[in-house]
Amino acid sequence: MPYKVLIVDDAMFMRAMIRDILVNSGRYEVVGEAANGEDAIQQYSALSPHLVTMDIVMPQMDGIEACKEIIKLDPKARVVMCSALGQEALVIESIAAGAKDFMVKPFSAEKVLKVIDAVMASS
Amino acid sequence: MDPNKYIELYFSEGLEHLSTLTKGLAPDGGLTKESVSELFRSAHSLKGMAAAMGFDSTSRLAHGLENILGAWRGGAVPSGEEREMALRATDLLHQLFERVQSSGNDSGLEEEVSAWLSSNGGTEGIPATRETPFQAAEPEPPAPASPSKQGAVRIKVSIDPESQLPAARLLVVFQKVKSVFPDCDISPSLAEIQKSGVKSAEFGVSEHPELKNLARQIQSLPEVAHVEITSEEAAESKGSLVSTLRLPASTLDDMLVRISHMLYHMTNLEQALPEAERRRQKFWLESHRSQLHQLYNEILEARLVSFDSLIERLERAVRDLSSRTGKPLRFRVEGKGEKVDKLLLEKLLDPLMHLVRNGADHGIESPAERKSTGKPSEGALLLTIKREGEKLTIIFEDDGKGLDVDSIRESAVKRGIISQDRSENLSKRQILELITLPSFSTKTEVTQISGRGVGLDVVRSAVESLGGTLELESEKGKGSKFFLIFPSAVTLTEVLVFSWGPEFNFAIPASQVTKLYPLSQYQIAWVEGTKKLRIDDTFLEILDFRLSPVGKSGIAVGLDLGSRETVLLVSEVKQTEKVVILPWGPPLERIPHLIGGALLSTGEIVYILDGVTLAREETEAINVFQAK
Repeated sequence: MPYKVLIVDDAMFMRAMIRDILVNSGRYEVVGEAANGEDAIQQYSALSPHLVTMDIVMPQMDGIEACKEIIKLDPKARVVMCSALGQEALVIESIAAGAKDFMVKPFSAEKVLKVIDAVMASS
Repeated sequence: MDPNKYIELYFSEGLEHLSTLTKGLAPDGGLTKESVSELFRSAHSLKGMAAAMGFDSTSRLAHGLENILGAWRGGAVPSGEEREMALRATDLLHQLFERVQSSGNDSGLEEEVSAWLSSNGGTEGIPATRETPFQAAEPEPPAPASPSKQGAVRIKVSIDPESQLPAARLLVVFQKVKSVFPDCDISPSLAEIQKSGVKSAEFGVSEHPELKNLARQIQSLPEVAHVEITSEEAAESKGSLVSTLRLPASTLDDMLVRISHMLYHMTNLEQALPEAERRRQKFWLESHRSQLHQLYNEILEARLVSFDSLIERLERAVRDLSSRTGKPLRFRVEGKGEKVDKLLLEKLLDPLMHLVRNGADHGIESPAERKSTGKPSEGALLLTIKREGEKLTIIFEDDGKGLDVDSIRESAVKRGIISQDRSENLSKRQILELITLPSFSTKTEVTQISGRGVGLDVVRSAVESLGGTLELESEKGKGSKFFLIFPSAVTLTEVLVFSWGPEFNFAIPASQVTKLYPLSQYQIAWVEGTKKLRIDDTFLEILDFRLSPVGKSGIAVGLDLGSRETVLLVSEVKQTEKVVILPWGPPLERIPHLIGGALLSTGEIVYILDGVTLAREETEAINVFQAK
């Protein structure tokens, strides 16, 4: 049974890329995609995915707020932040708030899977 | 990753962002907080997408634009010059997109891009993506002047030199360390790492069974290059990473339950197979079953623990008793190193505590009394633990005044426990055994320490509930000796499974069973008004404990009750099996002849009866009847 993942990113381009990386590994199944924080929280409660990839800069509600809300909903939630270079302070804030790990854009399949596999393996 | 796969999305989504930027930055347009945020996100998205596609110029330019927009979003008032710069960047981005459209890559405009960037101050600046930049993740502990209490052991973690966000990466490691050591410290502090970009940190922790496991977990985190534990102990044992593990006892219990389930599933699977197939696969089925049984036994072995913790408790109790009774006491233990099943150990505490209290309170005389009989003033208590093969014997002795056989006999007759006639025929050992009957006491006054009565019945039933027996020896003036004998140091007991009907399975410890007598071959005869089983010229007592009538097809199970043999009539005898007897909780635990329950390899529940208690209950009933 592949693990269920929710991808949160306002760029369809990024969502497609992450989805392909995850699905091609055979270990993950993308059960939902959200383009903003509010939608992410709703989909999280509806889908209870094993893991969420969370972009930081998004309209309506940003990824850090969404990460905090999701962890409030489910303290065991596995949220992996998707960050760009130069957002270290934001990544630190989200990890302190309970995000499990992070990955830095641009993504490579190897980098993404290394992080996500490690998160799934350790919790 | 094949970028061509994403080129279409890059265009459709990228051009949308470009159009947002163009419209939003138009010289006649007003800028609101919302629109600036949207522009910022568009530049940010463009940067990410371009980087993913490997379009370096586009990505760098978008990053520069993101910096300007980020400052606006952070509250900076856009100057006319900045707006001009932003518009120029947007135009350039359009050109870059056209390049990609015509040639498949964004090269050829490097000079223009560099010129724009240098007039904007380069790309090195970090965009102010948020109004309030994040301070410190955690309150930073003061820099330890001396090694902190957690600092006995340090975990040193180095991350990849390539790591782009080293402070964030080391925070992930820090969080992991904190899952085991909630108040560990990190050095240098996160703020310092963020500032300097160093790629390693040290975590101050303490010696912990999980330490090496934690090190392995850290090693498996992304971007972690090297993990090192430094401590005095670790320095000595640099060889293997992990040689022993400590794990919660409940884990082993869970494993036992799981194996029982596997055995049950296997039996079901086996029964579901067609007869012919079952025979063909016999070898595999049998070897699978035997492997599971072996695993089960190995886990039981692993549950063996030493007596240390129990002995410490008893030693404390002796010290306490000595000061409360005013009697100097010396407590010695022989065979400390022996090991016993942890369940058995837990159950042994109460009866042993009882014996220690009894010994100190009733057994050992006052110092003056001891002096007058020529004994050393210090009373001696000795606990001996012996394991011979499967059998475990625990002996508790004191050098006190011993038990007075005559007064026990007298008291038993007075209380109507036995008749005068019968009392005269009992051996010394049988008389001593009388004091283990409920509410029998040779001492009438109540003391604070032992409560009312000697309460040896409590000890006896505790020992018997574990499948053991209690024996005692005593000599007046010299002391008493209590023997707690258990058939196995592991609470794994071989039992004979039988039934009285189709519903329930019962079992009796195999150690109590002497022989099986099929009723088709042996006769039940009436002797002096009671039913007995005739075996050639002897007649065996029959225990009248059955839930449904036992017919000719039944079996008499011979029980060894020390001096005599008794039989228990059952309908069907099934198998013998080694099981872990788990005590019942209340209220079933109050039924004295019910030792506990167990799960058979078939997955069925079995009630374990104690033949000795069954027989004794019967004898006591008869004795009381005779005395009356």
